[in-house]
Amino acid sequence: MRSKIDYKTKFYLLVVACIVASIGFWRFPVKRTLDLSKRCNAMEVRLLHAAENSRLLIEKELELKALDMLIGNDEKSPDFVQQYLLSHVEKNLSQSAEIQEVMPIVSSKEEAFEFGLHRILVEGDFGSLLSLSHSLEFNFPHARILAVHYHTRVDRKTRKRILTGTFFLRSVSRLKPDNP
Amino acid sequence: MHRLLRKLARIRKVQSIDLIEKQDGTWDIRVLTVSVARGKLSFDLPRSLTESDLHTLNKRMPAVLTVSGVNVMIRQTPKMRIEKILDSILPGSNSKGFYIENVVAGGTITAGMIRNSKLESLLIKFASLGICVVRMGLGIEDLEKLSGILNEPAISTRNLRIPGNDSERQLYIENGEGHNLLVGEDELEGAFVGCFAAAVGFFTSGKEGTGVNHREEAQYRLLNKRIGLSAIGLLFAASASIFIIASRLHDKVDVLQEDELATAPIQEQLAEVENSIALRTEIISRAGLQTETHFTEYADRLAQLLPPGILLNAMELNPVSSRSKDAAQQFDQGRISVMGESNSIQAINLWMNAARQLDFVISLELERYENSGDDRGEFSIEIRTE
Repeated sequence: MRSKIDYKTKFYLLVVACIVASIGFWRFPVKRTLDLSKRCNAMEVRLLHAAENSRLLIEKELELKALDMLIGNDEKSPDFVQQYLLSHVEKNLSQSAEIQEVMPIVSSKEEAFEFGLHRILVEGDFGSLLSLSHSLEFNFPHARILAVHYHTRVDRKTRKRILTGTFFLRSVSRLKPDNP
Repeated sequence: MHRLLRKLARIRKVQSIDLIEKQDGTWDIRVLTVSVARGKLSFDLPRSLTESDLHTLNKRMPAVLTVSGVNVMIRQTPKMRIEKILDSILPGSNSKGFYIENVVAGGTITAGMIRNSKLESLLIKFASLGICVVRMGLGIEDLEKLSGILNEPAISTRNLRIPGNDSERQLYIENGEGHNLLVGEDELEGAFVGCFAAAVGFFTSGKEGTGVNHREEAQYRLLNKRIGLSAIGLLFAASASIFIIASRLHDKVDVLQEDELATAPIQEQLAEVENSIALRTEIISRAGLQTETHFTEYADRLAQLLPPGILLNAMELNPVSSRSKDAAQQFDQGRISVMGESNSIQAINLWMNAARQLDFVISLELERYENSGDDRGEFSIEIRTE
């Protein structure tokens, strides 16, 4: 006949085994699954951020494009702008005024951009110069007018006072990227 | 916890074995499985066996033994002491060597006796078969008890009834068998009523009978079985759930990892684009590409206010502030420098006052006035605009 102590021992062993199995079960599969779940959640959060960044990237790229359009591409180099400027001034200058001097372009390069300073000296009556100033201010997109200086001088021969206007314009363009 | 363990250890199913010893020393064995669930008794698998079929008994199910036949002495006498009854059957015998069951009804006593050694040999036989005997007796008290239950129906036996009238029921109790018993919808053959009564006796009382102390063992067996099965079941269910959840999570992680890899360059691209924007914003700011200019308007409005007697020699809108030779030449923004001649200071004052009224003029100062003779004076004025 089997001893009842055996059954009690068996019972206690079973209880201990259940506890050990529960602890083992918690420490390995359950805990690992929970860790996996946490990892999954963290990845989802990161992906949400990435989605937000993706949206932000599109916005920023559009902003960059707008800024590039404002700055202009390599076709708007100072030399080209100077040509456009002369053409524009000739078109918009009334007959009572004339270009006296087109000063050389002063240009400088910085990083991927080239800055150009354009100066043009025009003689004429105030109305013509104002009209030219207005057209350069609002209708000449290739360069930005920086300053307008009006001066009078006395003609040595005729002793007449002559009005001159000096227009300073700045252009910016992106340099052509070097081909690898 | 203790209550839960007790509940888990409760025996709800037994095999009731009726051992009837015949004259030739062979045994007629009747077996019935009786269970109690939610207060209702039910039976199953009534079968008759011989001694050689004992190995077919379920070794895992606790057994209730009822012994009857040639070795059991039953006497019905007027009410008297048990020892006297024993002495009348076996003169000079000691009652300590017998297991005795008795039932007193009216003025008579029904007593059943068997030698303890006989019962012990049977217990050893069943123990050697690996069967746990939780109760052992002669069935006399159990039949009486079943009769009592029938007369006073209890919850646990409400589905018990004997067909026929009260006299028939009495007859059944006297004979111990012969009438079929209805248990719920099932009819139990009269030959197995003794088995059924012994099982009912076990379920309704804790009495184990003589020489039997296996109830605890059987309970531990049950407890081990139930806890073990529950634990294995739980472990299996939990493992299956965890496996399903983990595999789904792994799939999800794989997909998310791919997505993450695909989106990894976005952060770098964003940083790059932000740098480009910062650079361009600085360039635009330095080039003044977004600065609103009003050169024409300011020059025109200032000129319109000029009174007679003033001749302007120069009017510089944003005069040069640093004469560097490169393209970064700086201009003093928001400043208008005016130089001219006038034949009267009053005219200059008049013009200055009028110019101060202009909405774009923030400040206006006469920097210099110098009388150069011939009633003419040279002046210079500094105007600050928005």
